[in-house]
Amino acid sequence: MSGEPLGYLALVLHAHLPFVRHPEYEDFLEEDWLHEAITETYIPLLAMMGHLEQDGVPFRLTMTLSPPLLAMLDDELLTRRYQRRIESLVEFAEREVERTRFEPAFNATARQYLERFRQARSLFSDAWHGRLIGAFRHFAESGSLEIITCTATHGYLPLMLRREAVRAQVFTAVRSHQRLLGAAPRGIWLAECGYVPGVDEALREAGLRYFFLDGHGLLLGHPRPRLGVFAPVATRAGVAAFARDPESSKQVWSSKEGYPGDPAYRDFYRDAGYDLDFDYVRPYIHPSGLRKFTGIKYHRITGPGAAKEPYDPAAAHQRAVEHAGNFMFNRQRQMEHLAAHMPGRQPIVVAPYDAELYGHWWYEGPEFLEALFRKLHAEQSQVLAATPWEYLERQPRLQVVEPSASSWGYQGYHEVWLNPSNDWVYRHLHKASDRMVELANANPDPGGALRRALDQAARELLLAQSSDWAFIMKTGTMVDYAVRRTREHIARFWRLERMAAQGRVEEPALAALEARDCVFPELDFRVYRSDHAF
Amino acid sequence: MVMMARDPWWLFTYWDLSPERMAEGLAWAQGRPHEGVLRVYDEAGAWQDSPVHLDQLGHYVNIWAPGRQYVAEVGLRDQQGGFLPLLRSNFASAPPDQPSSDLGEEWVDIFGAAALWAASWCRGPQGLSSMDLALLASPSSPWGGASEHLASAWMAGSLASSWSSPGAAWGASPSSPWGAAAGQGQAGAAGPGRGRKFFLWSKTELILYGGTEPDAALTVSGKPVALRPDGTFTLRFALPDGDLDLEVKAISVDQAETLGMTHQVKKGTRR
Repeated sequence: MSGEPLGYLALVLHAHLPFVRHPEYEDFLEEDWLHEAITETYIPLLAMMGHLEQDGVPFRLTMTLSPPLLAMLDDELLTRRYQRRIESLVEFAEREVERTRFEPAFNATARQYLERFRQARSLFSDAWHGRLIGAFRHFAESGSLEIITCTATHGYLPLMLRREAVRAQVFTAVRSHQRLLGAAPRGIWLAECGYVPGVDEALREAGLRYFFLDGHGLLLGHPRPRLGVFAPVATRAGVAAFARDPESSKQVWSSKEGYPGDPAYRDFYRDAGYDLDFDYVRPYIHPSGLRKFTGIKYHRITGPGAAKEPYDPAAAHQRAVEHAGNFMFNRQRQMEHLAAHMPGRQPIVVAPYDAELYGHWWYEGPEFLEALFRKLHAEQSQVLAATPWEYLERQPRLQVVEPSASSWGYQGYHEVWLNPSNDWVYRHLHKASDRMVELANANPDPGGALRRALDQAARELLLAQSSDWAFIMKTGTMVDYAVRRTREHIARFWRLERMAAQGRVEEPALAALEARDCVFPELDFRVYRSDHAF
Repeated sequence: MVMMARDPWWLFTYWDLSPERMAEGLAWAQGRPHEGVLRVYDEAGAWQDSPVHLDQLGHYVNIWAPGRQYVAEVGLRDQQGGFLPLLRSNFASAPPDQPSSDLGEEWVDIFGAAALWAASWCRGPQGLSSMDLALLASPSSPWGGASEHLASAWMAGSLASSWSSPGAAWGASPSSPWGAAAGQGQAGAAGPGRGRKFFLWSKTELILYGGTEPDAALTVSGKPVALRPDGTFTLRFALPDGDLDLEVKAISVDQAETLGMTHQVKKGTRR
């Protein structure tokens, strides 16, 4: 960073997907989540960073790569399946370019898909040899990208009663991050921004130096934070807490006022997988014949009605550039305003988003980001993009504030993950956590199969704790899958618990579970010990 | 018995009453009329009763003051107001709903915070206590006869609890939209006519197919077409309204022979 800006802008993208890996099926619908995110979000974001690097445009971006996402990106089976998927998409797009030959309104879009899918294939397979983690690492090592971690399985900490359970989520995340990215994370994105007092101590103990809160988590903190959400605070445990700026968030997030709802942008829901003749799309939908999203979409948002106009890629790109200019303009005015109220201190505006918003939902999102970084660099000097860590290095003096329990979910607290659709999971998660702690305390140094069974029990508990399951139960779609995953992991936990308690480990059953739920190979169940000796 | 704060105004509690504990309760009642009650206390000693079924799976409690610690008991109450607690929960802290009135300021260097860190471990009851006290406070193990209770609760799964959400409609939350996405797509994207009650849509495509010598060069309206190993080909085009000429031309591999034909297609739509 150079020069003295009025203030700093920290763009934070939280990339996470639950651990979904089903070797027992040849083609598993929920594995699409990963495939879609790779094609539509992760590769476009990496390509964007590549363009900026190539053109010598400095940028600063902070990204979570959640531990389950890292585990899936590192997984050989899922990598192979993605290669199959991108091949199929290229083939589909080739046929689409042909099919739309006499429909000029759609042909340009078909060509854009073909070009992007080919680029994705070439980057994934040829440039990065199937290793997206390496590509992210490249930008981290150049200092442009700060990669932070998340709770181990996106576990929602405020609803975990035991300190040991919180600690296991945090420590497991840090170790997995270190193994796959070669360096310990300095920051963490708490799943769903979910915080309760006490969590900061586990973070500090795991060596994490900063985390994020939703705005009210800081504003309702104690004592009242003097600089509001525009400066991080230090918790009692000595960890820095950054808070989300509601204003910059709303401009992007809001479905009504936000940029992604612009009529020129691509409509997410009209997809060739649903729109085209069944026999024709059959090879590109689920083998069972279930229609699904293919990622090829030809219409723009147009307006609130069902009638949709053809998508115009060039017009949409132009709009993304305009929106980047508008976003920058608003941040400049915001910084001028803040500077007048914060003498002697440069404010930071923290703008966090789900990474999958960019590209997957908001197709033009990566173009927006690229245009924003170019404009921030070339057109002004008031706002400087920075990572939270850089900000702390420049402004290490922080007010001590105990943040309030909060999340960034609906209503700002825990309701999304604790309501009549999903509250039944907690008695099971709490019970299993209690038992896991007992087992960890009772087995200081087990060997052989017992050790493996306990490690696997810890993995099953962590997987059951994914907040994604409760979230899906609340949203009411794909509920069966979320319920099934919760029940399966809890049942597997108790099966392993029985083996451990009875001292009779069934080797083949254990090996099968290890092979299936193969997340966190480095995990040591003693992370659950109450005395923190591990 | 476990209690969690959901937000500044609501708590959620669940419990699991062992048959032995239940028997103690019935012995206390000695046949007098009685009802199951959830009693919630705040840190100042104020309390509030809600009628509950002792075998229900959970209960949401609307509390009277944000920013306080709460603890709950579930038990039996007779008509004279006598109360026998059967289980006690952990303490749960409801977050505040107002900014702190404490404007005191303490500033530290985040990179020199070691002393602060050490001190934090000796902190009083406001920090980790709510977590730590979670299980200490129970008068009896809430998981007595665990496996049976677990099994029955398991079967009951997500059956309704006593509370119906006042704000159940899913708002525009910025939390991970993935689950919602997949779902909305499935429900919403059933074709171009989605969003209406009754709808009709239909479109036309044109299939052009044929064959020539496998090593010949084939073009359709000037554009090269890849042949299958047996020399056949199939093309599929979206067919909009209007006139379309499709000129199919094959040139032999030695370029000595050329064959061609033109399909003339006229397509219109009447509504």
